[in-house]
Amino acid sequence: MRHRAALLLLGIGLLSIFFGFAAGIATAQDETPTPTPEVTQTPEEEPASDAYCLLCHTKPDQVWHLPGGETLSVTIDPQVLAGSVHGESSPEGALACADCHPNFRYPHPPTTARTTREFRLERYAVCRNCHEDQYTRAQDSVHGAFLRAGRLEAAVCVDCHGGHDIQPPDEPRQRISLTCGRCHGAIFEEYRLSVHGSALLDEGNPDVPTCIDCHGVHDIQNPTTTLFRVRSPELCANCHANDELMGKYDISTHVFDTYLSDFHGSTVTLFEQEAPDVVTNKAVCYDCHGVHNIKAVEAGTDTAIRENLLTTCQQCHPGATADFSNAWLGHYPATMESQPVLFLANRLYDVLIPVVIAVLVILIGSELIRRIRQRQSG
Amino acid sequence: MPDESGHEIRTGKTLSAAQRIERLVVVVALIGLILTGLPQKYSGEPWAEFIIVLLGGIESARILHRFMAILLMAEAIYHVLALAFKWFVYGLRPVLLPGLKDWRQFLDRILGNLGLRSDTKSGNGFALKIEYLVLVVSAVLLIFTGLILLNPIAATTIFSGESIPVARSIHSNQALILVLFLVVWRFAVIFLWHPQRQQLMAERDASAPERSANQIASRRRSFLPVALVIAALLVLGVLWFAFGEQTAIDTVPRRQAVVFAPQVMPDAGDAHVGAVLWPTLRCAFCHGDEANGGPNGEPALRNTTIPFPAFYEQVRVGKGDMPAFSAEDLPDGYLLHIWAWLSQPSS
Repeated sequence: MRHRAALLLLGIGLLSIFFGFAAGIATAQDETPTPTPEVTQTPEEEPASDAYCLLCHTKPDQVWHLPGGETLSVTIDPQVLAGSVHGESSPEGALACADCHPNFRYPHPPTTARTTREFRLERYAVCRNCHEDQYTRAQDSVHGAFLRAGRLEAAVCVDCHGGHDIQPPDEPRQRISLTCGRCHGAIFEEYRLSVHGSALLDEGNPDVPTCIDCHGVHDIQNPTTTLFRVRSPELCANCHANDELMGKYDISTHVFDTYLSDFHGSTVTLFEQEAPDVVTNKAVCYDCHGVHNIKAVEAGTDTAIRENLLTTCQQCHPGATADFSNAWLGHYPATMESQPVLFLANRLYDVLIPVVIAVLVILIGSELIRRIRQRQSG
Repeated sequence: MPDESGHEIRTGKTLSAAQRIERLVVVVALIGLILTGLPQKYSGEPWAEFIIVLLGGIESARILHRFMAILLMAEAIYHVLALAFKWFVYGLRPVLLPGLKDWRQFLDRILGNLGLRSDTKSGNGFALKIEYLVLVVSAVLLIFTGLILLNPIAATTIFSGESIPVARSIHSNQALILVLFLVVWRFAVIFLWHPQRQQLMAERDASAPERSANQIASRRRSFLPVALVIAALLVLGVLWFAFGEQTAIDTVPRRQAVVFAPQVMPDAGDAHVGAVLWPTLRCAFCHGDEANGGPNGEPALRNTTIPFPAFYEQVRVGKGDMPAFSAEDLPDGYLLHIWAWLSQPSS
């Protein structure tokens, strides 16, 4: 790959020397070289060839001074370009410069961008030409909404995928969270120390969630909405109710069903079904476990966890007393050892309800038999 | 002779006006509690969702449930005081509490239905008595556990924390038993058994002690003030339990998070993060996949001893053939993680 690029550069250089234009190309940072059609044999009406573009853009220290005072490096490393997903490895064939920069030749078309950010926002829509679906979904995302609202820092295609050095976005898998962390640095720092983040980044664990497993990819929705909140337990359940997945780590899959059978869970479920936009004060998973800073929860007998639990409860129940948190069973079904009274009460009704039903069935059945006997006897 | 509520029984009627009102209140409260409670127990079922929507949502359903519970508790207070009045003033025993005889009647009825025993003439008084017993026991359990669930914080100052899930289990399961029982039993009472209430009243009246009008008036004067005080205290207690405790805050506090924060400098670099960052950056193109140096003589960076400030400066400004990388290209925090990895002794 590097040899091919070197040959390309060598060829361009020889051509330049042959036509005697090499000396005319400025090398100073604030001077722009002037390629000519003759050098790259690209007629005016045809797209500029890669050689035409790279004639200037491979030169080191090429920068563009924007009206706002910023400078943008416009030096392109052919190696980087060739190694990107749009390079030689692309099954559709390598993209040419003009595929993403149509109608660009020297002198470049004028731009209204005053800053590098404005220029990026001006240019990113070109991705739509090939990635219509992803582009459209991104427009419908929280990033798209913030961008339309004037928040220019909201991510666009190239912020996550890069411009010329685009790599497979999920290879390695850690790249996903590292990409989000570029803008969401504070959240990334919380995540990397969490049970999920440390497993992903330190151990390369393939099972823990990255950012997109909870937030989605291109159509990322606003996670601060009530709708997201009441649906969030389902996100956790995607993994934590999965027997096969949790079995690998000896984690109970009762977390979701015990939550749903609890006062909080049943209420949130009802809200999610009936009025997802109405604010509820009932706790969802992340109210107790944290959002991005989720820590590992060890066995329910851990006293530190119990002490922390009261603090957690008091976030929503300010008057909660020391024994209040013992009302929470820790996502585990009651046992004779852990909650004996509850265990016995449950077992009592496990017997009593069928007995009552049986007695009532016998009662009605026997009354029917009486009526049949009476009818038969006249 | 007074009826259960202390009122005179009118000829030809089995229930006095007070009793009819009591019955109406009980029926309304129970139907209301069932309609608002069962959908909560089976909240995942479509029919439950349908009913809750009809009731105006889960919060409305819970408010209605609480209102019906207050109604039932008020009726229970009145009923207990009325029974106490009849017992204290007239010496009338509670007529609807079943005894051993009534359970035998019930068993005889089933065995007779099945042809295993000949029918007796002992009547169907058991039907009302067993129904009354189940209703009273269930009401006591449901009210007690309901108060715990309504006031979990107050409850855990008296009972253990485990009392909350225990109360929930009992409340939920006992309600189910009561519903099943009432539906079937009422059907049998109305369409099959036709128990005679008058007969029970007659038995009760026959066993009542003879008291003079003066005795009755005297006892009535003694009873009423005490009853009023007890009633007032119980009503206040019910109201306090119903509205007294602010169990939870109205809205869960929103977490404040800085969403857009590209330049966050952690307290310390994480070599693990640096290691996974490295191959995702352009650094590896020149310095090698493991930062052990590039093919064109680019320097190895592993085991670097450069202090972070110098490293930071070099990356931001560039050096020799190495271009400068802006903070937009490479956030400060990531730079620290990379430096942590590079400066960590490699194995």
